[in-house]
Amino acid sequence: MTERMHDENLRSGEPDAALLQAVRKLPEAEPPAGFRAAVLRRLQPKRLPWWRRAWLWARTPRPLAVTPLRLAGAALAAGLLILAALPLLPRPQVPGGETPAHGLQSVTFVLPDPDGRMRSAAVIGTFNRWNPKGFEMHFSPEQRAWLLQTSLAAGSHEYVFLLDGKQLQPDPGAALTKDDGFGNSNSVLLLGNGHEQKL
Amino acid sequence: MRSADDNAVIRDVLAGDPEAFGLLVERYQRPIYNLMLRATGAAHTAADLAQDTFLRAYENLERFRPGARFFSWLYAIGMNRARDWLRAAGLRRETGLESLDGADFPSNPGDQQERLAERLDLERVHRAVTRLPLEQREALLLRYREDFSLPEVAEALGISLSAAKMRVHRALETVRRALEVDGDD
Repeated sequence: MTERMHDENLRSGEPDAALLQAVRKLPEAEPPAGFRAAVLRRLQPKRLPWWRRAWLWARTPRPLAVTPLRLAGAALAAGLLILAALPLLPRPQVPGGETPAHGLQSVTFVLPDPDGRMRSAAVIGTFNRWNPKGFEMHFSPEQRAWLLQTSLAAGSHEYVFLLDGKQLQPDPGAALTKDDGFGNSNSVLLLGNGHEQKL
Repeated sequence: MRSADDNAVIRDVLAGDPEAFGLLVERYQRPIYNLMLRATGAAHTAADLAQDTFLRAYENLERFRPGARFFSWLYAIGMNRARDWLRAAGLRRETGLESLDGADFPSNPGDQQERLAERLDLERVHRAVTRLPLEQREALLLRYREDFSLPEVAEALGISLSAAKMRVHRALETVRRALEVDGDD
């Protein structure tokens, strides 16, 4: 250790205070000029699935100017839309049955909890942007398991279970897992066409 | 709070606005570029690898968990890129990093003698830190320069918490020993 640092250490009484201070002050080089622009030039806009674009559009606030003429036009358009959509409205669901929305598939997530140790469980993944809201599971005393039935688009989805609002756990029953880039695993769900998936 | 800002930016990027990603590049280009510069010792290679790091982050942004710290996740991607490069390059850097010419030293007020002594200390510490193995060096810098918590260091390096503690401890020990030898010269 240098003599000056040694003196400072003696003064501070902290064995590594001067060393840590020096580490904090270590010099850094500036990135080359135009670095940001060079990265941005190579980016392609994210192509989101239509349902996510629609969801984002619906959630984005926008100003709305209303005039009597526009209001009448909008009411007429809405009426026509409702008439046209009547035959397409989803049929009522019957207990034990499932009528997935058009283009979506019914999926049941199952997380066994034989000892009833967890207080809550939810599914988070790429399909809900890792947000548990609306994807909470319910405990089935008969099956001694947490269940969530939902509908997802066909394709590949990564997900994990969120236990008690804080602990992440991959699906023990998943056939596929994928490294998330820093040591943890996500479960992978592949949805093709056709039947309901039991997980 | 920076990580909350990052999460808002990421939402915009995922909504189809690649320009928003520029904010994240601007925030973190300096530490990522310097990570690569320390790993490779060559400015042009470091710039290429840093660019690759941001591009990989962009491509995998859907897999980033909102609420997590973006910088840790980005650093983990950068570390993997640096490891790949070192493996391919046979663990050899293109040039040494002994010289501090052109480096951006902090300039503190004080008399000339004081500044000279401080620079001398910094050069010795810089030399010792530069000679550390990649994993120890980055653990030390993340912990004490970037002010990462130990769990965040563990996440960024893809290792367990106890391994992160051990790496920081060993890095400090190694630097301390190197400074003692250096000081005896």
